[in-house]
Amino acid sequence: MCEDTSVVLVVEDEADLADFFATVLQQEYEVRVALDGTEAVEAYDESVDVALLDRRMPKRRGSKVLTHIRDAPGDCAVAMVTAVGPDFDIIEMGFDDYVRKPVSRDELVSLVERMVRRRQFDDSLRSHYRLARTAALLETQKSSAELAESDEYDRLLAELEATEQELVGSAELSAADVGSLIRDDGSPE
Amino acid sequence: MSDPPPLGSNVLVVESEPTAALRYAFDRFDETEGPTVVVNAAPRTESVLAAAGEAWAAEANHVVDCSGETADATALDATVTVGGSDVPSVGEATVRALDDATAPVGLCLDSVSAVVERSSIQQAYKLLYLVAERVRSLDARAFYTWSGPIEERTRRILTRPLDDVVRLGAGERRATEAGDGER
Repeated sequence: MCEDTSVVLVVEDEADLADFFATVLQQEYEVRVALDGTEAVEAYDESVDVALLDRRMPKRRGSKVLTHIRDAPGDCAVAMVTAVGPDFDIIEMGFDDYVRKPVSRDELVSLVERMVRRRQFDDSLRSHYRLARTAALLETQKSSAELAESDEYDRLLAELEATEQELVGSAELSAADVGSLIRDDGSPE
Repeated sequence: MSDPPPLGSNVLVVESEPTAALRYAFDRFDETEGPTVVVNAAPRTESVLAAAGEAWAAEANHVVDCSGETADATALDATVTVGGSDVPSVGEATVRALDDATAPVGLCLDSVSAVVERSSIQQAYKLLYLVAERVRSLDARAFYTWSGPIEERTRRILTRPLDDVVRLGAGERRATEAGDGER
């Protein structure tokens, strides 16, 4: 398995459906399957990039698993994939996407692609902010001459530019994805 | 009216007088070119509308109200979308309004200082980066207002995703400062 392959955790208590999700996704991703909430908690670690969570499951509900994921280290994107229609209780749940079953193969692939892409944009956007913050600090402390002579400052600017390249395409994000990206603000300033 | 900035550009306007930045921005929009999206992310709806109303007809505006006030309280009579007052909602509503408007030519987001006050510089940075990219892709022009004093370091951070910064002094509405370090 390639080291940078994204890891998808499928949490679904219907074994046939879990198998279907896994079969479709394992062509592109490393897939872990959990058949109930307890297994999901055991299978989750910070290497998981995307989690697909059913809401109604034995042992531990999807919302409890979501809380566990949000409290644990890592920065996983979470989609609720469920037959349960959204109600006001979703306001506090903190997921990134909400999809009603049944889900077709194309919808599943598109959902995970979108979430992986958003996750990558989020990483790059955070990096860009950290670099911009460092550059701003130097620019307020050092003279123009000192900055012009500094190889370290040059490298910092080159890194900023490289990160901007990673963010090319962010203008095509949906409005909902933009909201999610801004919401994913877990790293401390 | 002085020349507007080039298409696709994003400008931070720092003001020391209330609504000076808004008026500066509206002075540079031309309603005949197309609709303008006005995002009210500060609790000063009346100022936004007054400034917009002076500039052009209300029907040219698409006002996105993210003040957190109820629709009844704001009494907005332009095209209105009431979003939440949190920063992700501001971002989502702004991008949606830009996408929904047919060939939008302008965006005025009032105000970045209110956004920072209710969240963090990091969240404001993400908002500016993502909205600015959208503005570039649409070939529109955007002004983002900042009310009151701004630390130099904060100014440099927040203008990194933008193209220029204009600083309006007391009693002075046309003082332009070239953005150094901006894209």
